[in-house]
Amino acid sequence: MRVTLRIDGGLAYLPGLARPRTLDLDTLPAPERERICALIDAARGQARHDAASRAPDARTYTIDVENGARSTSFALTEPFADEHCARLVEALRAHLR
Amino acid sequence: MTPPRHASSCCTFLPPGVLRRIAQNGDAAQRAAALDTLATDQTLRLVRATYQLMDTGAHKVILTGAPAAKHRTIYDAQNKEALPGRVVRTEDSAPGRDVAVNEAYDGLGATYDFYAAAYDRNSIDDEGLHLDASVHYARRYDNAFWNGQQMVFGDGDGDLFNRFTIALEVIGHELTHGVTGDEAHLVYTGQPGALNESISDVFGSLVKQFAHKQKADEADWLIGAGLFTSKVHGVALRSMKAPGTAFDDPVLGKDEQPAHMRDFLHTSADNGGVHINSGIPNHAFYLAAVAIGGYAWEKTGRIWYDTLRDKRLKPTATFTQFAHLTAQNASHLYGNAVRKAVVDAWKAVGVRAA
Repeated sequence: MRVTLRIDGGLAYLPGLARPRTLDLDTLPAPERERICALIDAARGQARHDAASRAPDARTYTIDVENGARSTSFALTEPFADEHCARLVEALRAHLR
Repeated sequence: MTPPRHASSCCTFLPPGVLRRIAQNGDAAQRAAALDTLATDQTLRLVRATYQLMDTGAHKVILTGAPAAKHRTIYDAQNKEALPGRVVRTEDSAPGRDVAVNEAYDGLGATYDFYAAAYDRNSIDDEGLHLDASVHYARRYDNAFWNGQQMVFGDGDGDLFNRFTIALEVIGHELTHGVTGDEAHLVYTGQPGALNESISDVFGSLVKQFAHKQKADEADWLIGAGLFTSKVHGVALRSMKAPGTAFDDPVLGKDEQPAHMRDFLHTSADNGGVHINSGIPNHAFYLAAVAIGGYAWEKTGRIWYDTLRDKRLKPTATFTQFAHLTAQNASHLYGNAVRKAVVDAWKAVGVRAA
């Protein structure tokens, strides 16, 4: 399973951080992979599609999940409505740093 | 919902102070009755504020034509996402040991003082909105934003970014998003979005210049000075004086801000480049301010402020439409010589203002 994170917005446009980055979950130890999968399942329900109405300088995190032939995409906008969203973004950014 | 008749009549016997408390804290029927009564014998300003209260649920709208005064509350989010967090400092309380708390408190105050002194504006909404801010938001959070009701500051990741309260112009920038939201509703995409960002940079920088009593040729015109750690090759997030030169770093990339329309970046990223193409109007303001001279918040800032409040400024305004209004306001306020300086500044960045 591959997860791609793209960050839009924020106080400044920093091209090095805005570039989409992909994490291959199969390279992670099983407990961490399962933790991230659980966070994806929990956060997906909080996805927002109203990026245009978000606060200026708040960020939107677009998350694409590819699992074999299946793929899904959802976006999370700050401030997060749910702690799972924060933990998911935190985990992805830590692995992709 | 129509309030019960007895509730309404009951309220008519209560003094205004009690009515206001009911309007803020009562249940739906009590609030409706209290607001109905207050609306009968208060000013239109009060009516507007109270109905804002009903519509938004905001709890800190001033309910009378109150004298201008700062009302700051700083919260500690304790590195969690829930807002606002625990109250750690209120108006007129002494500084504590938390640097972020003190910087947020002072930054909110400096921004309030700037708008009050320079443009006779009473807070973000010109109606005395209380200024709230949460510091220590989330973990390793490298951003700051105004969410429509309050400021939110992260601590930075400690690797690339320091705490986001460190730069006064960033606090001014974010609070100015509140002013723009109140006055102009510039849509947050493409050219109007870049104007929205530029206006925040302009007044964010002016907040710092006002606090330091710097003239246009003495200011650094940087946005986010001090935000980067020593690991980053860069001085700030943006430079209004020299767009495109603020950073060039292996991790963050290179500052892509253009200083001229010929380099306008057509992109779907960053809401159509709102933080990128803002370099163009930013540089126009810088050029106008230096040409006009003196304190930039006085003439050049006043021209931009009046343009922001100009009823002719549309939410979908382009750079050219904004520039035309600045030229007209410059002429109206200060005559032909200043108008020419403004037109020439826009011309230098490739925008026709006349």
